Amino acid sequence: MTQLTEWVNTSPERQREFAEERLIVDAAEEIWTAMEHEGISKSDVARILGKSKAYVTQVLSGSRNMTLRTFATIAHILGYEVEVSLKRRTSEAEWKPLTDAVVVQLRPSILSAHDVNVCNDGRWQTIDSMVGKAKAA
Amino acid sequence: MEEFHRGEKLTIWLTQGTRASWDAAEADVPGNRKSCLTQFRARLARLAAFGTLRSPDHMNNEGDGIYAVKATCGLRAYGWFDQVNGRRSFIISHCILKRRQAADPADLERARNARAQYKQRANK
Repeated sequence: MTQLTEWVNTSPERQREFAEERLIVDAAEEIWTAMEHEGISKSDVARILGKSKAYVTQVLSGSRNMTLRTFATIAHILGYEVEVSLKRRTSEAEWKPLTDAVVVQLRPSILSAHDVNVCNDGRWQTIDSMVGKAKAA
Repeated sequence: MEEFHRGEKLTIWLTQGTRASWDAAEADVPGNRKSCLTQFRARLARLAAFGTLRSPDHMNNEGDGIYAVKATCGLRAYGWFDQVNGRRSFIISHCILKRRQAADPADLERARNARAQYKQRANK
């Protein structure tokens, strides 16, 4: 467990607050990434939205709550659409250290190898565990 | 150095003395803005997960390879990018609670000095 996750896991309130802040920073960063990619400035977004640059600044910095409607509108302005999905939270205690391991993602459509450090996604297995299963079979 | 957080793309490290400056900076955050402490960490977590922060509201390039991760209440973590044990890393030299918009030259100098000491120790 890292110092960061230790701090977050001090209380359920802190965990909830961290989840909120992560979503806010993720949304803002996704918008900034798209803005950079499309060469669109904060002023351009403000002009198209019909709002002040200060408003856009506040929305993107997280000091003003961004509604889902505003998020969708900004994405639309940038030529993107928002993809929403809920993922079940996973406990870090379930994470397996895979230092220096190579894992293979087992999906029918994609077969790829990556270096990873930790993994708590059941779709991924270490080469060692695959070899172990093959031997057992 | 102590490891603060290991994300998918990089690891965040604290130099000797970072923790003391971090605690002091956070102690000065007004009581009604304590959620800023969480915001600060959420931004650091994003940095570790993605390897970069695009928004200038989240991270500033202060020049000369020194960067500041920011929170809206004025918390700043000054540091630099490097490879540690073969892994991309962001090394925090110190934290402050900033009162003014512009970076204090003394803070940038402090970060540069910490980096020079780190490089000397690491023989880089």
